[in-house]
Amino acid sequence: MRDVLLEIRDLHTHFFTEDGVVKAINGVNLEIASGETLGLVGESGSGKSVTALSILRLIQDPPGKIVSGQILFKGDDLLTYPTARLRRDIRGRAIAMIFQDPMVSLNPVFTVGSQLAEAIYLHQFRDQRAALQQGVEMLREAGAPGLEGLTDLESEPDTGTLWQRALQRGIRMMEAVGIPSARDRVIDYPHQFSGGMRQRIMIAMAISCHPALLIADEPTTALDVTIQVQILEIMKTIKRTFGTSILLITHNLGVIAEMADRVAVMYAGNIVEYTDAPTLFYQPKHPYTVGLLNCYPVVDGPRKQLESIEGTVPDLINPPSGCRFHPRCKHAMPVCQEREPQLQPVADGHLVSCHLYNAGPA
Amino acid sequence: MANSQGTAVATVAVEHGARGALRQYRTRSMLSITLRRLARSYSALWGLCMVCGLILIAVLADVIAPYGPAQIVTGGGSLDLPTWAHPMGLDLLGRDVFSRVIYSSRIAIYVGIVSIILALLPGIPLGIVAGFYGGRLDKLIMAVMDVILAFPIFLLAIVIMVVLEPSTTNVVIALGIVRIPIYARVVRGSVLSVKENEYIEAVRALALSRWRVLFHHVLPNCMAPIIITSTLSVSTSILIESSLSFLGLGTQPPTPSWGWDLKANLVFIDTNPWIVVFPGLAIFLTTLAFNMLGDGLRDALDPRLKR
Amino acid sequence: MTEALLSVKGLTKYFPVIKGVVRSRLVGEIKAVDGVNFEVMPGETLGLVGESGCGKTTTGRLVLRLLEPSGGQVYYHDVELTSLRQRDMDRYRQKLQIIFQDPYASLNPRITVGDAIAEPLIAHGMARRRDARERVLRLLDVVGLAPFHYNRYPHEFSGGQRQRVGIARALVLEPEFIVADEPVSALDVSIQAQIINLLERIQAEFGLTFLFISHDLGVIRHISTRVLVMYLGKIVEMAGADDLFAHPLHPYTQALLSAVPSARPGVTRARILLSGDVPSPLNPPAGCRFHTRCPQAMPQCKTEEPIWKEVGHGHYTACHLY
Repeated sequence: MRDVLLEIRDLHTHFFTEDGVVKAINGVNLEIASGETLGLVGESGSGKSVTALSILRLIQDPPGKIVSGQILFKGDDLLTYPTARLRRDIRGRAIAMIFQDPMVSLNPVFTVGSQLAEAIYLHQFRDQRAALQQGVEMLREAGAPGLEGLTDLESEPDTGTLWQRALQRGIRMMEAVGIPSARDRVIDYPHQFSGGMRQRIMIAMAISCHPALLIADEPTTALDVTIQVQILEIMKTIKRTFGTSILLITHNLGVIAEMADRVAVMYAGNIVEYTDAPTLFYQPKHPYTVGLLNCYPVVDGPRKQLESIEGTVPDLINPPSGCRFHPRCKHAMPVCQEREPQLQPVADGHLVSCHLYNAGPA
Repeated sequence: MANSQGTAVATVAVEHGARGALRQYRTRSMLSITLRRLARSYSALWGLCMVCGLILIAVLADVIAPYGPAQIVTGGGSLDLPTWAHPMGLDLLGRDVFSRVIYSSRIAIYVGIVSIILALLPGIPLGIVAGFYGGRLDKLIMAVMDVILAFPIFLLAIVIMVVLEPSTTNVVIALGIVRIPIYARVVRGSVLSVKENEYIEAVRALALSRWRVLFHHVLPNCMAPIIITSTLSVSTSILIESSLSFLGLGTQPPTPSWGWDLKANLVFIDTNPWIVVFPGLAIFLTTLAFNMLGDGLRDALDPRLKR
Repeated sequence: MTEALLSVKGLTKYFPVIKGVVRSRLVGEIKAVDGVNFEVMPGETLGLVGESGCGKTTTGRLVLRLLEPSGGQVYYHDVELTSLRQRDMDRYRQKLQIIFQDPYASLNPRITVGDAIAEPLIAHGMARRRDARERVLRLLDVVGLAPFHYNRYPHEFSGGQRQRVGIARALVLEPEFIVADEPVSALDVSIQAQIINLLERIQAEFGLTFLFISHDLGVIRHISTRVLVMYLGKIVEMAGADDLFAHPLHPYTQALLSAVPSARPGVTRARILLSGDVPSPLNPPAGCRFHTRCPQAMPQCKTEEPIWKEVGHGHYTACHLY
């Protein structure tokens, strides 16, 4: 039985702009189990980033607003939390997030060390003893190489203020994510690091409080492919060591293939297909998924004709009636224009939202 | 698309499909977008109304004002309190304050606008040359501009007025000269940043001549700061003119000016405070009007909000 | 033996690094492009691939003299472009065009797209107003846009559509050679595919030659006839596309190819992890520039720069392993 960590039920997020109401998320249902990596795939306008921001309630209001739905984290609905509690317990602590562009995610006027220490200080040292204890325990169980540096926190003598200790912890996190000469570099500013390094620092900040869920919004899109490999390796190690669940948002199917256990494909604010990774790649059902897989120019295998999906992403203020994908769909039927399809199972653990597979009217 | 999600999503949302998609659509040029955004801001609309009102008053002064600015009201006294016949009272010499205030608006508008034009004409080309060509020329121009800028505007204006004889025209000249470096700076900055845009490189690749690139591509994209600076400068100009006139170094009698009236009537404040209030109020409202309009324009032209 | 359309010899670009405010002095040079040689054959698509900072974008600009080279020559047919004055160079620009990466930045936001495309025609006296409009409408059709798009402003289009406008603009002067600088990198995958197909179509229809710059190996593989791999300002390998991807010779190419995530879950590629970061182009490593990260580095690599030689049929590389 899967231990469900996060469950999103029927989420609707709208943006009230001067041109009309953008129905960015249109009834999304998702589940992430403990220790699982859920990949959220979609192109621009699909709503994947908005979903992530909605979980942490980081949607700017105005113009955005979560209009309905539930976000259940370990059974509690995050949407009912007062902001103070959200900030204290959830953001950066139980659920951490890393963003796409490492250039702008770090504050350029503070040193890297102080930003790391701040994150640790604010979240961990409130409950200092318990946090240290927990961290050390987890590491002992996992016995992870490279993260050994964290084990001697317990035996570390008190070196003064809490801030100092947070800083030291920060140095250890930097070492853990593979930043060379961390102790020397902790006083450097973000602009003195390369993009890959910055992303690692972001990851260090995110995991410093041992979150149960890590949301990664296009973490490698801005990076070179050889750096991308390194970042993905770190994320895999974190998952193995801490058992962190990951919500990985990307448009890169290759990254998904490598990292994700389960995958949800989003299009124009809806989830159109939801299944485990091998099934998605080898037995895709939804026409959009099929089209997307065919769009990918591959590096290995024979060269093939690149198929494309006609048309462009729909206008979310006046989306197409019925199934939002129907204007671009090769298999569109009359019913597709009339009614919105529902996300229904076609096989065990494989859900598709398409009239080709929907079992009759609901 | 990693910035504020609201903006990113809205961008995608209002885009329309490729050909074949039949939709009702209004072409949205930069101008119409700007005007629409301007219309959203109450303060900007107020500002615009007041500015238009002011200009109308200045133009139609002859029609609106019941008396001439220097005309002594027959049968009137002096320093009379406001009555229905004379809504703002009479000044020491028996002139209708209301009419004087209205006629003074002409000076205000004249000074405000002409001084800006005088500053624009040399300022913009200097800024363009400095920004576009760079190098030593840029350094030279900016050095000269910096020298002028180093002087406090007001002080420099006073000095100029003392050297030349005080008159409205000289005020305009003084204010114009003092403003040139501001325009040069603003335009230069704008040109420098626009120059870096990829579309400038693109038109270079199309082998368009430098002139064309400059006037057709670079300059139109620099207009926003010029417009905003101009609007806000008008209010400063009017304020300085009033101050100079107050000191007796600006508009000379018998030409009516708010500043002059303010000073001249200040001594009689015990007898009739109203004759001081109204010119002061006029200065206040005019400055406010241009400031509000300028602020509104600045928000409407803000490139960050551009889609 | 077909003659090369464009040939590049010893192309170099150093960016000076100046420190100091009052008395500025040269503290170093960023060797962005350091002695690059290649030829582009008529009708082919030459892919130029590399990671950020390798100098590929700079190379693209240098070839068109949008940036002035610090050294080396660029030949177009037999004309040495690098020796021409700007005015004469402008005459050749008509034949050598460029498509930019960023569809949002490469169009002037104040001009309608139709006017933007028509402008070069009118400015060069190639057509009068009415004829220009006709030609632009035809081009809009070629790139897959509708006639009513003529009067729209760039911000009213999506990324993919703006890129189509960029392509139409590059075609308007009827060029022979187009530098495509990461034309699809900023686009969604499904739109990428559309644009790539469009580029292939217009290449066939207009008989164009492309220098296709990208960091995306999948795209490069799909569209290129031959491929150049760049690292830190130098070309490290050159081969036909199929050959390069099937048998990469240079260790960097091998690492690059191994790093691309395969779109097949469960099939993990043998990953070659490169140590460290890309060195700074201010101070490139001595000898072979790649030796600091190369898993197969030998003592020789630290001191001697490898020679460019042909290892297979039409397959060149510069590496001490060969």
